[in-house]
Amino acid sequence: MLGVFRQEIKMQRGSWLVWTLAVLCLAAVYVSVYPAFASDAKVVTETFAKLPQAVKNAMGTGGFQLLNFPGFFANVLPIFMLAGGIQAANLGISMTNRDRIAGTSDFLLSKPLGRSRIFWQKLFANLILLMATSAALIGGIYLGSRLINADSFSSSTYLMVMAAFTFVQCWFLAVGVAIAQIAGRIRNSIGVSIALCFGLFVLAMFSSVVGDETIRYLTPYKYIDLLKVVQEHTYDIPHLIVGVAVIIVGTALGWLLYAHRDVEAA
Amino acid sequence: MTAAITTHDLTKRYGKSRGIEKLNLEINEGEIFGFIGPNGAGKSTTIRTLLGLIKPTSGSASLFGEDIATNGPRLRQRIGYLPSEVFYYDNMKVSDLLRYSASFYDKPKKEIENRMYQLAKLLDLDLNKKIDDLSYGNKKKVGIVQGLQHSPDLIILDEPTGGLDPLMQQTFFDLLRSENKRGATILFSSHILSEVQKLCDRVAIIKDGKLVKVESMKTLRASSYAKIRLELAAPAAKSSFKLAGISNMAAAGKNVSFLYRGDVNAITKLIAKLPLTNVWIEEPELEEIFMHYYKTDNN
Repeated sequence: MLGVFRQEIKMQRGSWLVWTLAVLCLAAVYVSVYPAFASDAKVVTETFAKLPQAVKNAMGTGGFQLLNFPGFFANVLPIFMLAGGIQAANLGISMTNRDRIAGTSDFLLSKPLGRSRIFWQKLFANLILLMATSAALIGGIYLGSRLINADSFSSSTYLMVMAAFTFVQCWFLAVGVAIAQIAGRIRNSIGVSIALCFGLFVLAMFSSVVGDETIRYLTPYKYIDLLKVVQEHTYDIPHLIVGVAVIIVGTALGWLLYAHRDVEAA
Repeated sequence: MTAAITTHDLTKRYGKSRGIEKLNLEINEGEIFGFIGPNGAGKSTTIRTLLGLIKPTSGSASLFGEDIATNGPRLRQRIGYLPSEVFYYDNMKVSDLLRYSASFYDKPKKEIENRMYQLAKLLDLDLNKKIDDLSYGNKKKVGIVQGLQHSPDLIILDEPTGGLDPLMQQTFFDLLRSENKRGATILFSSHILSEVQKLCDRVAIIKDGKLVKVESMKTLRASSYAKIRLELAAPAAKSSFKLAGISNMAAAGKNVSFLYRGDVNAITKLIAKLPLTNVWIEEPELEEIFMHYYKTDNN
């Protein structure tokens, strides 16, 4: 029954492991430098306050504000979101594109299984992998905070901040799935993923520099104002709604196109 | 006799380009049915439409009396398919791929696995090798096993013998005959007439997307041509080639070529009287068969 799901997990687990270890290593680096930042919080804040306004805006924070452990990670999470986005976009694109490039579509789609079933099993498998990366990162950073004896902080604030990583991954997974069906054969899925994620990341920085709220709606990196989450414990609902809508539309479009397209001979 | 495959005005167009046009076909259960045509005639398009890999522009098709549009996945439980080009997951072992293929079918896993071992032994296929390490011919054997291991009721083969050596081709044909004896219907698509001639009860000829003729093999054998080319020691007169059944003769100095349909003993006697340095007797191109299929012979 879940043959396609299991096969998808098997095929992606090597790549998943590499990505997850990479973000965990990055997390370990930032966790390890946090004590230095925390001990000289005042100095760090004053140093960053002296940076040109454009640079501060580009960092998306208006200035590096340490606040506390979740606040520190709110400042550095965009880098993780970039990496996580690339991982998710690549999974989304290659989920169905891989079969087209490798010529294995005939093998799979001539089996007694409906295309919808194949699509949802593959999507579910990739979603599980991304959730596993998120869980590893969230758990890993939290464990790191205990190891470095970071000051106690609100778990709910921490989770609200880190949920942005998960949300961005879901967004790029859905968009990747849609791109794979719209664009046809994509020989270099990782290249497309990097271009997509970097492009939207730069757009996010641009939106911070110019202070344009409209542009915030176009890039998933700005759907959640991380410092606002730390300071006010709240999300921007309109931006979240747009993000969720993109996830739903991207997934639905990918599914419908996959279910009805002609399978070209390899 | 119930029909295994029925198509009614089945049409597939790719924009303005034609795929197949108003194809009406009926293949009975238990038949070995040949589907021949030149490259680009529409054989693969027809097969891929029957399997649900491509959607028809118009018309309909049914397998075992059920519409493929509404019952595709259920019908594919009864189908074994071997495509012309085989591609599998390179990092998998052969046995793992075959077990993965078997996992989609409702039949008892043990039964399919036993059949997998039987077929692998018959075809001399190493189940422990990785797909990536296999030659093209061995990948084709994997395709044969994955298409037959679940003992399907309908076997669809799209130019299946590419990559197989002549001995293995013979083994494959014997295998198909035993599957047919078991009760399986076989749809065998090829552009090689001799393969179809060896195996099939009836044959459909398709050209430019249209069905030209459905014929029994007996009738097709009686009307098939041989392409004969001679290299002579000295030019021969045209009168040396007066024999009913010779057509399309071309002579250039010492080289003579023609098509022949008739008693092979008669043409052999005629050729033997000529001062030969070399002789070629070949199966004609399918295009040549189509061009001369219903024309009268001339000397």
